[in-house]
Amino acid sequence: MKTTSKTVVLAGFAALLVLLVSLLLIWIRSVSSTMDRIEAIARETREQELMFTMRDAAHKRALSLFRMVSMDDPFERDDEYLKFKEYAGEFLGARDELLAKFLDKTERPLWERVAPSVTNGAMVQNQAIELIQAERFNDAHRLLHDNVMPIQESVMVQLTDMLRVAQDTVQREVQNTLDNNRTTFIAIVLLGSGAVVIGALIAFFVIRRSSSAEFALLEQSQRLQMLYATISSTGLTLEEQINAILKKGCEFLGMEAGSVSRVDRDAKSSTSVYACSVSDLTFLPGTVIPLQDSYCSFVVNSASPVALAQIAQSSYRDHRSCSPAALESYIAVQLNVGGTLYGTVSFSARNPRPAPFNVRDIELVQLIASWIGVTVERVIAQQELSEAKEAAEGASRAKSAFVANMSHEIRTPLTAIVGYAESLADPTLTADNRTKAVKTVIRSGQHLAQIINDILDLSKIEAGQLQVERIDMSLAEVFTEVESVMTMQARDKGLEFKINFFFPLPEKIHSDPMRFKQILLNLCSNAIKFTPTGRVDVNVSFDFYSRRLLTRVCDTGIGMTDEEKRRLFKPFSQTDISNTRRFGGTGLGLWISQQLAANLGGGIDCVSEKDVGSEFEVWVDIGDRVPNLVEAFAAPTPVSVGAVVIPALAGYILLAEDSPDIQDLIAFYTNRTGVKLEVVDNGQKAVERALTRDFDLILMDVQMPVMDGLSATTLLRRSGYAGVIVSLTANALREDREKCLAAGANEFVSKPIDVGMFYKTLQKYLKMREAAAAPQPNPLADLNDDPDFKDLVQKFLSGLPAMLKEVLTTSEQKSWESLRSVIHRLKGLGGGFGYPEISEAAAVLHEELRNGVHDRVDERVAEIRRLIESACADTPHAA
Amino acid sequence: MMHPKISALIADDVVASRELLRQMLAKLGVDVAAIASDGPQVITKLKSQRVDVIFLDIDMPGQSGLDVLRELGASGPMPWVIMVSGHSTMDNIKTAIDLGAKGFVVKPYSMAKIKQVLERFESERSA
Repeated sequence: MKTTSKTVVLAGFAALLVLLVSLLLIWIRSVSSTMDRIEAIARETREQELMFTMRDAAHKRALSLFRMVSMDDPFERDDEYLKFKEYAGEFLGARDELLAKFLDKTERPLWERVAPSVTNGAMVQNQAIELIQAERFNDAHRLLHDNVMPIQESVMVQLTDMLRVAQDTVQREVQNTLDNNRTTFIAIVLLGSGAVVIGALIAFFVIRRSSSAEFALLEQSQRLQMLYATISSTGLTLEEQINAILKKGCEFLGMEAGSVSRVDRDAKSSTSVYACSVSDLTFLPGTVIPLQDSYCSFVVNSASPVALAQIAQSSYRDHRSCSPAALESYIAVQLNVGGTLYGTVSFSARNPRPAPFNVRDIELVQLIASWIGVTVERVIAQQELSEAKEAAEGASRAKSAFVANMSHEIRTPLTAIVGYAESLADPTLTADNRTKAVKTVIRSGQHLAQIINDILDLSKIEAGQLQVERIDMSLAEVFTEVESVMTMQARDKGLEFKINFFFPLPEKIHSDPMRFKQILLNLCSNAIKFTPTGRVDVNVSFDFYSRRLLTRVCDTGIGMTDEEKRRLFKPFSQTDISNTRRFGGTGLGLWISQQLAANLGGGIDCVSEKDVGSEFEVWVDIGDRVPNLVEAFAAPTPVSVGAVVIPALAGYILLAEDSPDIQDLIAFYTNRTGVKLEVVDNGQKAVERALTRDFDLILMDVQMPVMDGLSATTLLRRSGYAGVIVSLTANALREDREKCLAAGANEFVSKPIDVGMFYKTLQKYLKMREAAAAPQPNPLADLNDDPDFKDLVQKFLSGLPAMLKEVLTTSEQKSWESLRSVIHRLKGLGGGFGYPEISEAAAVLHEELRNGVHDRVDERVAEIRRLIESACADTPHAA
Repeated sequence: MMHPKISALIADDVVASRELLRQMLAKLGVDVAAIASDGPQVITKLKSQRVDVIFLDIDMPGQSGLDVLRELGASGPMPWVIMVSGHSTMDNIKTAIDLGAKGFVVKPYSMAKIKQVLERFESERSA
């Protein structure tokens, strides 16, 4: 509708414009034609004038002629003749002008008829004049009477005709002009009034249209304002807000009830989710009706709004839908939630609506639907959030329970350790009790270490941070180690423990020896723990087809019921806790073992019978390579367990470690070997020391204040230090080891320190004591034979007493600058010539002087003096 | 010992130290092409002569070794600079390395250490 009215308006304006243009053209044309006419009239008038003049002149000449004839006085006759010639001139003038400019086609022939007569007349008149001048008056009379007069008459008649023609022409022109003006006048009046009418029509049209648009906008804006007021009312739940909106929609549209329906295409149903009514027409929320029986299907299938003000008059009247409710008017649009189809928002009434739904009504319903869509999304999000919250709370409770458990598990051995250790301080303790206390402390400490390892493993697994290695693992080695540990435990309990290999088996597999051993130790120690009497067998076999290594730990222990078995692999299940109390252990072992096995590409399975025994089978992936199967394992090298051999070494070690306990521990270890140890407590001091002195080995702890071990190592390497650096790290993670090596360490030792490993490392880099030379090898040993060098040393030594004197003098006089200068020289020289102690002492004093510290000068000078005097005394060449 | 010969410049304000280092370097087959006793001399000598390695003492009066190092670094590509010092404070070490020094040797000179540094230079040069 809008477009046609626009076209009408435009057409009207166009017509108006055309009219005005044509009016203008008409007016221009009429003006110009009038001007032409006036010009023509002027010309004709002039023509007439000339003709009058001619006629007049001819007449007057003739009269003049006649007068001349009747004049006696010759002077009067001459005067008259002058006048005669004057009149002739007039005639000729007018004639010439007439001929030149004015005669048109109709008049020329007339003139041509007159012209000869005029010429004749003139000729005859001239003859007459001659006669008169000759005074032959009678002849003149006769000529006049016979010739001149007739000719003159005819000339006059013809001139008069001409005149009349000219007058007629003028009349005609005037009449034409009048006619034209009238026509123009009529045309202008018609066109003008037409334009005015059209203009009025258009104005009326436009005003009507804009006022109706204004009205529509106003109405819509009011509706939206009220909607908005409903939406933003606080204190309502989302559901209440939806119902309020539906109610408002009913009011605006004049409908009875509004509802939100969810459409399930698969189930072909439409479920009423929210419904609100302003009358007794109700749709109960939760009502489900088949989709085909509802008008919703039309909306959903066509994805476009349906607006039926009078169903009975529409094409839907035969549709069986909502017949219980017998709806007569209905409007609905599609409802989308989260971008997908959800259902419909509809308003219905049992009476037909007097006016049809217009565009704005549909827009309103769409707006309501989009707002409801957003709100429903929020409702869904709210529900999901509360569910997630509950789940999180549940997990949090589980975690708290775990922490409580762990706290207990840790405190128990700790209490034992502290308690028994305290008891050791009692001097009255008997030897037996002392031994018992020590054993308990050791055992509890080991147990605690195990618990802490387990907890760390658990956290790593939980965080998805557990890393397993994939390296070559010798089965013989691993099982031998397990056997050596487990046989002792088994023997303590009087059980038999045997590992049975079912060949062929791969010699090596690609796995993580540490973790594999951890699993085996866990399973074997569990087996031993839960077996009061009997035996524990470990059966190792290789499944060729699935490429798995199978290890089955079988015991003749107390076994488990199905219920207990079900709870077996969960950390801190009921079974585990009570068993932990009875049998020891950490309660986490099995769960961790299962996770580890999974990480190694396998798993753990369990078969058990109460009071008969249990079988735990662990299988792991052997890696990608083709395994080298053997029929027997070579006898493994005996693992020396127990006493560690203390090597005898020589050298200087720099230890950078901030914990005094560790400092003492390492000092304890190194003193036994004979090496000299120097200790600094942060990385910065380590760097400074390392560059000052030659050390055979630097032990660099990774975590220290001021500057940590990695930074110190990096800095040392960057400054060109090429000595041996061994990192001490508490982390055994691969990436931490790699970080140490990347920083420039030669190797690393992990804490807690394994003494055997420690000594092995020292042995690698330090020379044996017997082979060592003098405690501090002279760096200039090779130069000693050089004669030039000897000369230099000479020079240095002979200069020493003078320098000493300078030192003493300047220090007495407290001329610090001079003292500093000589000490500076001394510092640079001393060590260069084999007297590092002099350099060092000089360096100390130099530093103090530089910092303006003068209170120990005498002490320092005395020391320097002693060193210099001893150096001079040593050399036979001293002066 | 080193092929081809490494050329070096020694910068130290104490004569005897210079002499000592010159002797040691000569023993190692290094050609001591120039010596300087203070910062400005280093710059001057380097203008007219190219050397492979500079042994630069930190404790020089006036312009310290670190200042010289800074100046060398600012004027284009540097030869290998090995800082020499009677003591090694962290600031000196850090500053020297940040300014581009390739090595740090603490007096008393250790033949082994100097040899190590020169070997490092050799291997980098031929790389």
